[in-house]
Amino acid sequence: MTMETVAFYSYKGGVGRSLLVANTAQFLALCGRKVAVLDLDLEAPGLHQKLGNPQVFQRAADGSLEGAVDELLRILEGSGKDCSIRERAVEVDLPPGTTGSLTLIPAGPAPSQRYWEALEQLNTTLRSARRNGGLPEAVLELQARIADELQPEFLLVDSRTGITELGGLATSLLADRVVCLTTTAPESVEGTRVVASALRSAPRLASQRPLRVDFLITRVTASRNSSEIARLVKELGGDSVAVLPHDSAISNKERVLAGWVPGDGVAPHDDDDDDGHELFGATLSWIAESFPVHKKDAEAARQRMKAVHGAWRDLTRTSEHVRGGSRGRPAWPVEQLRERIRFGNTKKFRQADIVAYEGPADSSKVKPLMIIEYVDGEDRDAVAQWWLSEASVPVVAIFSPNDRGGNADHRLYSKKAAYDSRSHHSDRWDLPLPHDFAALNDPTDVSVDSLLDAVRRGYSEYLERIIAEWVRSSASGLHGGAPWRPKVARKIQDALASVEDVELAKRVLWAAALGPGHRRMWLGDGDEWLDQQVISELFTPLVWRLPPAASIDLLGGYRHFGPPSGQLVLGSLARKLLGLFYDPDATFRVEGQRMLERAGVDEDADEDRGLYGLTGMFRHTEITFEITDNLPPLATSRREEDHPKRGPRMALPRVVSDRLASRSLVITGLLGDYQSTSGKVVLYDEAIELCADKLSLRPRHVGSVTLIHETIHALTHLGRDLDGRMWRDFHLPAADGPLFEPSPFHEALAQYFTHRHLVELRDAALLHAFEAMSARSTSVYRAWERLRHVAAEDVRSWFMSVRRGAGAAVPVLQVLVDAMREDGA
Amino acid sequence: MTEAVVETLSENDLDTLVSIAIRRAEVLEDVGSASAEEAWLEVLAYEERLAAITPAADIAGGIARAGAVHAALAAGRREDAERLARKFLSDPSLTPERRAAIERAIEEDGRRLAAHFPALAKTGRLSEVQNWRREVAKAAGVFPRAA
Repeated sequence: MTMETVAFYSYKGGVGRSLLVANTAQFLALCGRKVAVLDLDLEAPGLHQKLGNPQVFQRAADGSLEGAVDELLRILEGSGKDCSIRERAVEVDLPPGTTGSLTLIPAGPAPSQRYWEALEQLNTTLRSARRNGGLPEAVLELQARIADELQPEFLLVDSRTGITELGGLATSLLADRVVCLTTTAPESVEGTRVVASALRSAPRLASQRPLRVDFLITRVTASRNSSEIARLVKELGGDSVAVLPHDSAISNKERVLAGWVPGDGVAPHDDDDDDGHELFGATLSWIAESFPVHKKDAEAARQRMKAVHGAWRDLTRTSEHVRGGSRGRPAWPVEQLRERIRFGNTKKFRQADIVAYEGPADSSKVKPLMIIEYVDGEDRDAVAQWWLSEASVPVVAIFSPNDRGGNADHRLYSKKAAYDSRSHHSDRWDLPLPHDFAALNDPTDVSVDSLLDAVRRGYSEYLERIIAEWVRSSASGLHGGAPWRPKVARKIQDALASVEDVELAKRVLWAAALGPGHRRMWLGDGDEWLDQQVISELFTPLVWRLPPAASIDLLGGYRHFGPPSGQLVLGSLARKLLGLFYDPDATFRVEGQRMLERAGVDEDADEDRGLYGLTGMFRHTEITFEITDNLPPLATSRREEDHPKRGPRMALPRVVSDRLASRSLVITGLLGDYQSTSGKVVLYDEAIELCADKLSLRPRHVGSVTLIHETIHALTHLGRDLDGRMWRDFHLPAADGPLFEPSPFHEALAQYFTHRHLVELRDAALLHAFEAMSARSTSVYRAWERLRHVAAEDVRSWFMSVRRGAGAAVPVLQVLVDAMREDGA
Repeated sequence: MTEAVVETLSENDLDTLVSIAIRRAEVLEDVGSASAEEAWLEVLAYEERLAAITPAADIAGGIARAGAVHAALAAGRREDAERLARKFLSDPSLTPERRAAIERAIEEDGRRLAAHFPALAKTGRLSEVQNWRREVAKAAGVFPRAA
């Protein structure tokens, strides 16, 4: 077998020569070729650091590693002729299944005292033992021994920089081909040009072919313009000239392609961080051109590198883009990731491209959570099953080439998943992150059910994903949009509405209310239409369906800018249910201007127009909310002596019980209240709990019914009609004591609209609570039953007539009279 | 000692000096001194001068010629040895004994080198190295300097 010797030379150091030697050697070996690498950079050796394993590093450190220096000494001294070169060679670890081999003859145990002593001894011998031949014979003998014993197809030589005896021999005497590397620095280019010229005319052994000289311009920064590079290419000449880009990450820590650690200790900071990708891609292109037989292999390797690189970036990316900026992301800590880890025994093993561990990977006890392997030409399912069964790892991600030529596909496999027979992998399209392993029963299962289960258990970080899924399921219209899956959308809303924990419910609301950028993150192109859909069809229903303590927290929050405030929800309810406009800011602007006009004040004047006082006059037009443990008006006594021993608070259970027993339950005054003078909706917590307990209902449901009922009171009072008028003079009577009687007309209307709203919400639990409460209520509170088949527009028309003080409200008043008569009232 | 000085010496002086130099070089070589090659270079200088001033047919001339080739080989100057051997062997007046001695010296050194570099010898390139050395010396380029 003919061995081709390729020497890598650079006039100056720091051009990435040794890295290129290592990469080329690994690549050729991975392509099935027998490769030997000889480190003849004796004054600054380092190939064993790039290609060796921990055992090699240890042998270098303790001085027991032998190499080229020892071999040259033995050759020159004529000793150790029976020693095999294999004894000084290091077999480089290659991935399982590799048919090629890579043998390294290191320089020696550098950097150690023994190495420097051996090198000095070699120099001394060369000076004194010319009778036994010189260095030319010695290096040729070494080359011949390598060819004899190792029989490689390629011998790659890392030669010394500058003008040195050994560098000259490696390039002009040993090599069939020389790869000269240079940066764009003038001194490097000039030196390389001179050396290349000398190489072209350098004498060769009679039996040698003419020397081929290739050039590589390395560490080319983006700022170097193409004409400058073209000039350099022309200046250098040679059999070929290629360009490799600069990469700061590689400059800081040189890494070998096949043993590439995409982010070893260096997590990418943003999407612009190339992290060596471009350099390695260009390196592979150069290899493909330099060894044309392996062009296809180089492309496959490039794809593999790209896939692993992409996976590493996905795992470690700590921020993600959202509309208007970026935000943090719970990425894998770099110390929990390792690459090129071999699992199995000596006979049966595989090598993972990336392993994600449950903790810092430097601990021996830490368990692997996820294996990532790029598989080309093997059955992905079978490989995944091997990992799941042999390596006891919960999750496996198998990357493979994309048949359509795009980025690599990947499939996720999990131990816990029961995959169907057709598809042996998960549908999840992204790589699981650390919190997935803590929160999800199966980290590869990101179905709505799985995510909802996690949310119910308190993992609110999945809320955005669930809401994004809701958007994907429902954001559709006449002109298309996301896939329309209304059942899934409904299921998501119902599940979110079932959240019991108040703090979690608040997070649900905030997640649904968050700005459109967060939704865009999942959908790609959010727009106003989409925002409105989320607000009106997910966020708003959830406000009414979630526990009132959470809803009130959001309804009461007022902000001019940012996420939709309670005003949007209230405005939506007023508009859709009552046909009114609720916008206290607009009310202030319209009415305030009228007042200024009436007062003869120039509305646009700079001087004090009494705006502070004016806004104060409109405070009550803004609905506020409160849950209180105060006694409701119907349970308070004006005279303390009415309950001298038990005190007024003790009377509440009796009041509630009596009312329920006598079917005279009322909401306003007992469970809640709307205080028209201040615009405040109040929920009486204790009374709600007592009522719920007696009716075997959930307090949250009784509270929600009460909240909606009282909010409708507030909106019918403060909502403005098409003429811009409010119900200033027709508000509820103030609930002020045990003799308080709610207004029949107001309560009947509020119940009617509450029922209608609950029907629209399609919340069975709330509807059940409403009906159960209604069944124990006064005839006025049950009048909705008589009105339920009346068109809402008619009811609204009557209601508007009453607001105007017109007599057209007769039909609805008749219903009330009938109801009260039947009740015996 | 410079070449110019050597040229001023008489044959007797050279005989004396070469005997001393040979003894010195042998002792240095026996003890493995780094100066042995230098000592053999001194021997080479005297022997080459003696060869120049004595006829090849004379005993002294024959010994000087064979000694010069031996000294060059001992000094690790195989190229010089081969050059001298070619030159001396081309003289028809050289006695057969001396001719055989010179040829034997070159052959023995070749065998010794082949034993020293067995793998290289097997490739057949060992003999090419000397020509290569000559070419490199003539080329006088900046790269490589090894030759």
